Amino acid sequence: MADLTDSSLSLAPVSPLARVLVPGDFGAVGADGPGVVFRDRRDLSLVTIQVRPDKQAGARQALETAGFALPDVGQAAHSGDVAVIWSALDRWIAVAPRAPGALHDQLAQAFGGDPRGHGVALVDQSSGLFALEIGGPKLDALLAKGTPVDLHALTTDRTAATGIDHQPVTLWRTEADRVLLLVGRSFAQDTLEFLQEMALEFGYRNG
Amino acid sequence: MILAEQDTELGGSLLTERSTIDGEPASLWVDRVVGELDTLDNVEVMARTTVFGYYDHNILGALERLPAAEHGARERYWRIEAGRVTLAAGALERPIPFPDNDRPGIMLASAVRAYLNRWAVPAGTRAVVFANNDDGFSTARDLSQAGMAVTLVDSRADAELPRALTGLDVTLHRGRTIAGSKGRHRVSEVTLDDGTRLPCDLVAVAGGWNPSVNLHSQTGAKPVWDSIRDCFVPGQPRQNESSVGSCAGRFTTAEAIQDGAYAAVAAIRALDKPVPELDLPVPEDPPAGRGESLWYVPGHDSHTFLDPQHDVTVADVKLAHREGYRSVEHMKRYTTLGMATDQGRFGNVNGMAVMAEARGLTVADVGTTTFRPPYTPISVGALAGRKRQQTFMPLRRSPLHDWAVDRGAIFAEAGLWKRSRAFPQAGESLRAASFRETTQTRNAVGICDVSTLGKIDLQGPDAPELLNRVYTNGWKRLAVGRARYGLMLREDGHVMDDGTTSCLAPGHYHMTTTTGQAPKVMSHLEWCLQALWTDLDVQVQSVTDQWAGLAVAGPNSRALLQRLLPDVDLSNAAFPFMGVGQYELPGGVPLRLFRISFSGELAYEVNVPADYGPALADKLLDLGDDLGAVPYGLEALDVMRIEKGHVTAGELDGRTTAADLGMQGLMSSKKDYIGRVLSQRPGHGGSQPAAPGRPQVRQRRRADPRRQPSAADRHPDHNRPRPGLGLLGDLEPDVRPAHRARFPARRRAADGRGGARGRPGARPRRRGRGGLPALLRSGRDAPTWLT
Repeated sequence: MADLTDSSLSLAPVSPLARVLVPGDFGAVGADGPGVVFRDRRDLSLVTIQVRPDKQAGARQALETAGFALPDVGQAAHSGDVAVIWSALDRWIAVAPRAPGALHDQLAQAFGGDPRGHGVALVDQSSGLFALEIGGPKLDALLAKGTPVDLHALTTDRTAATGIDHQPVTLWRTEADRVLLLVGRSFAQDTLEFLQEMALEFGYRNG
Repeated sequence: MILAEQDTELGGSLLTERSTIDGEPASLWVDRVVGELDTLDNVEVMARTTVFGYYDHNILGALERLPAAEHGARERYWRIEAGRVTLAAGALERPIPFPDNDRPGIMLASAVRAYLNRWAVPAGTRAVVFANNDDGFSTARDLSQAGMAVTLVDSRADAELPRALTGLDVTLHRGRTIAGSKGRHRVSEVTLDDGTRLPCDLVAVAGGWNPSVNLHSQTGAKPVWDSIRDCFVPGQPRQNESSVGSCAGRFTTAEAIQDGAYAAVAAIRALDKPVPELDLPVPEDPPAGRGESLWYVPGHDSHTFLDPQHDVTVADVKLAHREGYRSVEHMKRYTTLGMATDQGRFGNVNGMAVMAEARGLTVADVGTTTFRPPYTPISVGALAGRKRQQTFMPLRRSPLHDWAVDRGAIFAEAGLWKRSRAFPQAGESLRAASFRETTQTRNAVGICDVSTLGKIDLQGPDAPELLNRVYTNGWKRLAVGRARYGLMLREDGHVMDDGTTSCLAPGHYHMTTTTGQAPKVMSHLEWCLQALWTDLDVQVQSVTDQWAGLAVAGPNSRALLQRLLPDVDLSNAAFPFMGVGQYELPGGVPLRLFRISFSGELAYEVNVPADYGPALADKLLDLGDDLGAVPYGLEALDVMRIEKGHVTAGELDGRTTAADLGMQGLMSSKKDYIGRVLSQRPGHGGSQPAAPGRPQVRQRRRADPRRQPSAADRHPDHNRPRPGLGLLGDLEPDVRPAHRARFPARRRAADGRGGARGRPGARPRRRGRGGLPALLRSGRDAPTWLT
């Protein structure tokens, strides 16, 4: 790859929610504060790990040797800064603090730099997936408006491949009152607008 | 656990009846139980919520009516997926249809009691209570104690006023029925079957009770006739549900409490939890006395209403019988009895009984009709929720959506996407803007948002094999750093989609699809890999959203990109047509460059991660300021691609074959691929030119560029309706020949690729993306009407 160092050619990233996640409190915010808080988590790198069904034992072993994990269906696993969450049949998403290319390379190293030779496809989706963090005491009441997932069963570090407002999303409960929602970037604004409207009655904060 | 209650408060019939539990008014007991439920975290009490539908897999639909609140909804539709369901839906009182029973003031006795006991509203001053069972006594008692003059008409010959009515001024007519009524705006008099006339302004009718078996019936279970209680009761459940209390035909409060306790014990046992000792409350119930069957009062049948909502009378049911609609399901449809909003809640069973009588059978023999959701009407708005108008469909936004909005773009809908159609300047029409953009792109350089094109990442050693099987042309020898155009057929031999696929690295490919077909191609590939060729080692994943795509087209496109990538040799020799390169911008932003042209010009497509799309577009316009760079939209893109002869969704409409599109040369004879066999069907062209009678992609060019176009230039078939076939010929009127005349010189890119348009009369050219057969028919092939 050609290395270009002319800083005048550097590009500034823009969030798909630049226009709708304007800071402030909205809706019926009571004395206890907002029921729901939305946060843009574009400070994360997201790399999907897709593994052929017949190569998963080997892939799991290779990742574990390198200090990662390939959790079971509906689970999330942490290894240092990197979390690997189950997101769909034969597919996981690695999540780490944002560093362009680094997470992809780190994972590729687990397969000796040749993931394709192990039936594994790594795809950087840091722009393709949008990470929205939703928190607050009314989190579950809000999610119940959009997803059929049994929210009682979605405990901390459980994940679900589901739909919200007819959009396919991945939900990962990172804490008791917090989830990370991953949605296709082109649908991000639509999904957020749905959630914001649904959160009006609880009061919400764009943080 | 969810406890859904249709009413605004819990309590059921205890709210409307003057009964006691454990010696105290029932309302106190209700309050205490509600208080206990409130303290339980795992119980959600949902009042004002009607469970209106019971569907497969124990899924229930419910409608919650919410109290007014700022930012609150008025109604909320719930979908409840339950492990176990206990139905305690209660029972609805049954009428005794009698002639002229559709006058205001003629009500069900339970409604009269509810008005009086719950809301302190006397429904009249002079009441006639008409009953065939002991409920007549409690109605008479309550109304009389409220100060009304009450006459009780009891159909039972042996009825005796019970002790509870001792001392009250209630006149009893036993063994009698009501045979007619009078009254202009409301009932003023009823006539008994013995001719007795009773002045009144209220008639309270108590004909017994129908258990609300609607939800049970919606599961597909068949209610059965209980000949002891004279009502339909739940039959064998088909889902994990049970019915308790009145909806199971167990009408007394004592039975309801017992049933509830049994159901609770069963539920606790099913959870393997210890069953606590039960201390059941003891209600005081009115004396149980069986009623007698009285389904309707014979007489003026055409004025005896079974279903006042649909004006269905006893005469209608008898007519249905005479006409041969004797099954209750046929009778229901012939008469509309119990259909629509009523859902059999009022006179349904009476109607079955009329039919049973006409057929000489019992109600048990004729059975009941099927109940359907919703149990009570619900507003469509509650089901639709937010999904209306602009939010009816999700809107997909390109990474450059806001960027385009800021530049005054007019948008066009493309599936769920909105694509920028043109960027009009002040006072400029859409047409003028698109022609300006076309001119500028043809003469200088234009940039166009192509992020909406589908992009699919393919990885694995068998990727070339997969491409070879899904595309009609050959893919085995595509080198790293090269792109190729491909055509995909459906299994039926028609064209599904087209696009380019690039080889990024050994075993790593980047496929593009049309905007509209992207999801379909993705699922097609997944189907192929998961069902047809599980042995192929390829992983596919949509990366449409990951990459922003910009087409950079026009003679200055190379110069412009050279400024963005100063260290990259973009000369034709180093980066030829259909070349592909991967680079990195400062800050580690990856960039993919494809030498692809959809406009016919020297052109490139640049991909960067979507977050950087707007900044890249700005940067290109900035760097290209002195090169004449402009943004262009879909309209200009269409003008140019039509001139070039490239097909798009208008032609790839699912009904065209490769031959129709002039792409028969792309159909390999050296390998198999999806759609090959059926594309050879007679009349479909196969790898031959389009068969006679098939639609054909043509591009027309005036033989004499100086002559102004006239109506005679239109295709003779053009005025003939050609349903839905938006072929190039149909699109032509939108491409102004006047505009084309501004580009008389047939510029060519320096390398002779792209932008080539033949001279009038020249031999037919075979050009297109990747040097593939062009879609042009001109010169000697031109139809005679052109020359």
